[in-house]
Amino acid sequence: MSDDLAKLPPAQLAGFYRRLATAVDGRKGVLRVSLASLLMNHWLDNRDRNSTFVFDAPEHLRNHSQVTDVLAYHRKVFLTEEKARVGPKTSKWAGVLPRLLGNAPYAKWDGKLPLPLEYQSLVEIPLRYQVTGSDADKDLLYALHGFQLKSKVVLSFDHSAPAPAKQVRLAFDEFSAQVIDRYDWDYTEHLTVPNPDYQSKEADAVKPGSDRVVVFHSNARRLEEAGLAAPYNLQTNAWRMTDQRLIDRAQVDLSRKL
Amino acid sequence: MRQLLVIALVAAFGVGCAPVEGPTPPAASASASPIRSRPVDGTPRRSVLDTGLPPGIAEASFQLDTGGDQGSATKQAGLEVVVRFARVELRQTVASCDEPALGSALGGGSNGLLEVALCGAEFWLTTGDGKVIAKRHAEQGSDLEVANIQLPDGIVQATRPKDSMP
Repeated sequence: MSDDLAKLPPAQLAGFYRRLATAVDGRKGVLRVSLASLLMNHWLDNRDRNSTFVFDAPEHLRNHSQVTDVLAYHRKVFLTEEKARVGPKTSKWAGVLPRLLGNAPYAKWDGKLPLPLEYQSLVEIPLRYQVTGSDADKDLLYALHGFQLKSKVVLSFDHSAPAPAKQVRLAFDEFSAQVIDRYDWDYTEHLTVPNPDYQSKEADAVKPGSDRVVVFHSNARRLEEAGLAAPYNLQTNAWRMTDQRLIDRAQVDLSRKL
Repeated sequence: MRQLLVIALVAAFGVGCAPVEGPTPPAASASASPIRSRPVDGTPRRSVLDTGLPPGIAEASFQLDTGGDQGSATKQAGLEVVVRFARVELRQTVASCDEPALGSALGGGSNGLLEVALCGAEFWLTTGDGKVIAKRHAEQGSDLEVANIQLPDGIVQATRPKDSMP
């Protein structure tokens, strides 16, 4: 498989990647914003590999089932309703109940002050979405693929109704989430993309006779070494949960054995 | 299970067989491979920060590495120990796994135990006596030390960095 970009000087290579980002945005379908295009353009604009790009999570990211399913799992971990996954065959109890019971290594929580808790795990956008996915599925796959989802809650005792014996009622005073990732290429890999230069008459067009082109990520390294792009950390601004299933009051049984 | 799925996708779609329709380019089917682990470091990698911490302060935390996978095959996440003081950052990958987890919901935050993380095993990040130590925690038996980072003279222990979420 030949590398059609290998002979391009860095400035022309940057132009190709910019046209690719524009073409990706042009195919965003029903989405308001193409995250794949936004992040590739930021990579081309960026010059500081230690920088963090902060942006608002688009609706199709916040509401994606892959994200909301993980948030529902986080709620269960916070409430000690489901174990935190350690590995394929192991898991452990975490969240509020060990703190209510004061089990080491958890500091005891007596409910006098609100309790902030965080949990961070992965969201993996499945590779099968390249074939079967919606516009949103594909955009998140190509923009992020695997990423971190961090949740933060603030719990307090809910005294609005009496709790049964040996139980406490808890309210979610806050429940917010944030996506975290790093945008950097694996230089040993490659990607087949629709060719943004297909049928182009421009002098610097790449393989205009072909509707697709293989992009070797070694070219991304070449661009970064030429100072025309840089990897970066990314994080979204935190967003607050409004879904009642996530923020509803809960009851925790203090007599449960962990 | 996930490895089998990736293998099946590569077998099914192969080079150049991914669709070209959609909002974004088709994926890296040509270079897709079973889930790759990330290399674990024996010693920390050192870098210089643009903005330093005040003298006498050191920060330590667990972080996850989930980079290098856009337009690429699925990769495991790396669990990293990150220690910062002055303008120095030390970063050491101590584990690679499919389902990592971090956060105060897992415990920690008291008595020298800064943080707990999950990544194929339970890891504890502790500090004291001028060091930051990461251990693979064993419910029964002995913990296994996986990172031991010396803090500069005069700093007895590290603290957790300020949270990135408001």
